[in-house]
Amino acid sequence: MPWLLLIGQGRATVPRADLQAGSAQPMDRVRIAVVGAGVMGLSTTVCISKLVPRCSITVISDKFTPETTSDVAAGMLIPPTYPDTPLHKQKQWFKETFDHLFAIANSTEAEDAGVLLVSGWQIFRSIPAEEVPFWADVVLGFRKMTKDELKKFPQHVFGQAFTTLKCEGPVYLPWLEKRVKGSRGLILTRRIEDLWELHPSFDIVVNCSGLGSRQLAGDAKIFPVRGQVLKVQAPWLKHFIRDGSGLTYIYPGISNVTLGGTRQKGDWNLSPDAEISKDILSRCCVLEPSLRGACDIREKVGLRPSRSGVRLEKELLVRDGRRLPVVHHYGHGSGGITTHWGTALEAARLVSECAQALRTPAPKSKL
Amino acid sequence: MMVCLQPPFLQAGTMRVVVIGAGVIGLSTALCIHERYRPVLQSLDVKVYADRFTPLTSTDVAAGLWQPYISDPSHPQEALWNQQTFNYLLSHINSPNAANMGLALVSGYNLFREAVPDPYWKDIVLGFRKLTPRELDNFPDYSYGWFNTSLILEGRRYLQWLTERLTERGVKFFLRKVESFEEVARGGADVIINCTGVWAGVLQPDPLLQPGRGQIIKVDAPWMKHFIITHDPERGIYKSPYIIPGIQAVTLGGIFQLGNWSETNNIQDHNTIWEGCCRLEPTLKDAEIVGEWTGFRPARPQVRLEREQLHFGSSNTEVIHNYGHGGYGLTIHWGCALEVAKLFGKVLEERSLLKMPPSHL
Repeated sequence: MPWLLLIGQGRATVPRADLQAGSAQPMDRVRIAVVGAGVMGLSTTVCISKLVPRCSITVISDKFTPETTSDVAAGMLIPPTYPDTPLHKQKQWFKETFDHLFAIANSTEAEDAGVLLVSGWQIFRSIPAEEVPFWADVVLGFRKMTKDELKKFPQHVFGQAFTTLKCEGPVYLPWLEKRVKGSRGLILTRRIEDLWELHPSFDIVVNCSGLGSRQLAGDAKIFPVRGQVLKVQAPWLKHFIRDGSGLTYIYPGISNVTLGGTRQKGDWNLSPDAEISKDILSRCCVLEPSLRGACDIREKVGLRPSRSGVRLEKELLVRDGRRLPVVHHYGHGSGGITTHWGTALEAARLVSECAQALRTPAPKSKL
Repeated sequence: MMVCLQPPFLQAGTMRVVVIGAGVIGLSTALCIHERYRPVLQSLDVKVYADRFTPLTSTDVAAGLWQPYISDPSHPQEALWNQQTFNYLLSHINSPNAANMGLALVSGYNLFREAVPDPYWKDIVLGFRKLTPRELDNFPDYSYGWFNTSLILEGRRYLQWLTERLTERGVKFFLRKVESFEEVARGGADVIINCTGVWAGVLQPDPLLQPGRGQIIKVDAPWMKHFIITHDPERGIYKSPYIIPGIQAVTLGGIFQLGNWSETNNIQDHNTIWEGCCRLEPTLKDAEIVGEWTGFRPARPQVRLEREQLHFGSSNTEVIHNYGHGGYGLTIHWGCALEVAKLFGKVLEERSLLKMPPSHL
C-alpha cells in the first residue's frame, strides 16, 4: 500500500525493504511505529528512544497538538481510581509521573514544558469514605483542611489541602515533540484505519490511539466520557478547587483557568453545548464567586478514553502467516496526564521485550 | 403608616476632616471614618490632601502580600491590628468584587537556614504548617520553613478601589503639597489625620522615622502561583530574596536600605534582586521584565498612632497621627484605620458632637 506522507518537521526516512518479522536473521535496526500523538504517544516515544537501542521510531497520527484529547484536559495531577488496575500499580504510575514532572517544574525547562506547582483544595459535601486517598503521600503537604479554611466553602463539610502539579497539554505536547525530533524520531500525519497497514514497514507497533482503539484494536471496552470545559481569564486565582465528586473544578494554569466539567458516558459529541457552559460557570461561581469577573471565556470538549483499567500489554497479531507485535497503551480515562510517564515507562519496557525477541535468532524448527 | 426614626446622635455643628496622604493608610482611614460617622453626623465633611496619588505612592510599589514581620511587634496593639486587617480582607474574599479590590488568596513558602519558632500570626493565616522534607528539596539553600495561605492585596488596585468608594461618598481629593499642619488648620480643618508616611518628618520632625528604601522588579511569570520569602537573620528583614505573585505580574525583591532617599532604580540592587531570585527559583531566568520600581518603606520602631492637640491662634486643632507602618502597611492598614476611627469618635464626644460612640464600634 503506497504511503501517503504529509511530513512534519522531522527527518524523513525511507522505509526499508520488507523484512519478515520473526525470521531467522537477527534484526539490526528495529522499526517502531507509535500510533497516536497525544500525551501517551509522544511520551512513550521519548521513553522508547531512551530504553531501546538501535531503533527508529515514527509517530503516526491524524491529530496533533493542539487538537488532541490531551490538549483539552487541564492536566491537574489528581488521580482517579481504575477499578480493574491493581492499586499498587496506579500508585507507582502516579509517583513516577509526579517525580518526573516535579523535576521539570523545578528546572529551567518548566515554562517551556508547561509544568507548574499549584496548591489548593479538594472539598466534599459529606465526609468521604476515604479521608486519605492512596496518593496522599505522593503529592506535597497533604493534610485535612482546617475549620477556618472550610469557611470559604459553606456548602462543604470536609476538605483536603495539598500541593500538586499541573501539566498543560498545549505546551507539554510541543515540548515532547521537540524531544522526539531531537532523538531522531519521525512524525507523520496519517489516519490509520487498521494496524496491519503498518506491516511490513514496521517491526513493532505501539498503539496509543486512545478512543481509536475501539476500531484499531476492536476493543469494545473503551468508550468516551465526554467532558466539556471552559477556559477563562481569571489571573487572580492561584489555587485549584475541586469538588470531591469530580464534576466541578477550577484549575488555574499558566495562561488561563480551566472550569469544569461534565462526565457524559457514551457521548461522542465534540461540539460545545451552550447550556452546559452556563451550568459549568454557575457551579464554579458557587465555589469561587470572584469568577463572575472572569472574561474571554472559551468552550472546549474532549472525549476521555475511558476503560475500567488501562490496557498496557503486548499482543501478537497474526494473519496469513504474517506477524505483527503490538504493545497496547491506552484507556487512561480521566487519568491520562496524571499517569502518563509511569505507563509510558512500562510501555517502553514492553517494547524493549518485543525488540529483544525480534533480535534473538529463532530456534531452528524441524519443519 | 411610615415611621421615621430620628437618628439619636444627630447634632448641629460642623466637622471638617482633612486626611493628609493618599496611600493605603490615608485612603483607608478616610473611608473607615466616613463609613462609621457619616450616618450619624450629617455635617461630617472629609477631604483628602496629597501631593502623590496612585500610581505614585509608596503603596503602589508594595508587592501586597499580607504578612507581618516574623518577630513579635514591639507594640502589642500592632498584632491586633494585623489580625483585624486579615479578617476584614478575608471577609471580602468571596465577594464578586474581590479581584476589583486587588484581593486574592495566595499560598506559599517562608524559608530559613535553620529552625525558628513559629510566628505569632500562625493562627491568623490559614493552614499554617511546617514544610515537609520533599518540599525543602526544592530549595537547596534552605533547611527549614513554613507553608501557609495568606492574602494578596495589590496596592494599585486597592487604591483605585478605595478612591472609587470615597468618590461615591462625596469625599473630595486635592493635589496639594502641605507644608504645615497650621496651613491646613487655618484653612478650616477641625481634625487632621496625618497619613503622610515616610514624609511625616516634613510636617513634624520625627527622629524615629526613616526611609527603608526598597526596589522591586516586576516580571511576567504566570506559572508562579506561590509566594516564596527567604529569611536571613544576619541580614535582616526584606534583605533576602522574595518572590510574590500578584494578580498579573510577579514581584521580585530583596532590598531594604535604611536612610537611603534615592528614588531612582539602582543597577547593583537590580542585580542583587535578579541573581537572588533566579537562584531561588531557576524557572525565572527567562521571565520577561515588565517594570522596576523604587519606594520607601516608612520605617519606625513602631507605628505612630495617637492624638495630638495643636493650637493655632484661638482654635484647637486635633491631629491624629497614623504613620510609620514600615513594610507592613497593607498588612496592618485596616486595624489602624479602625483605631483612628475610635480616636476620632472620642474627639466627637469631647466636642459634644456625639452623645456616645455608635454601638457597633
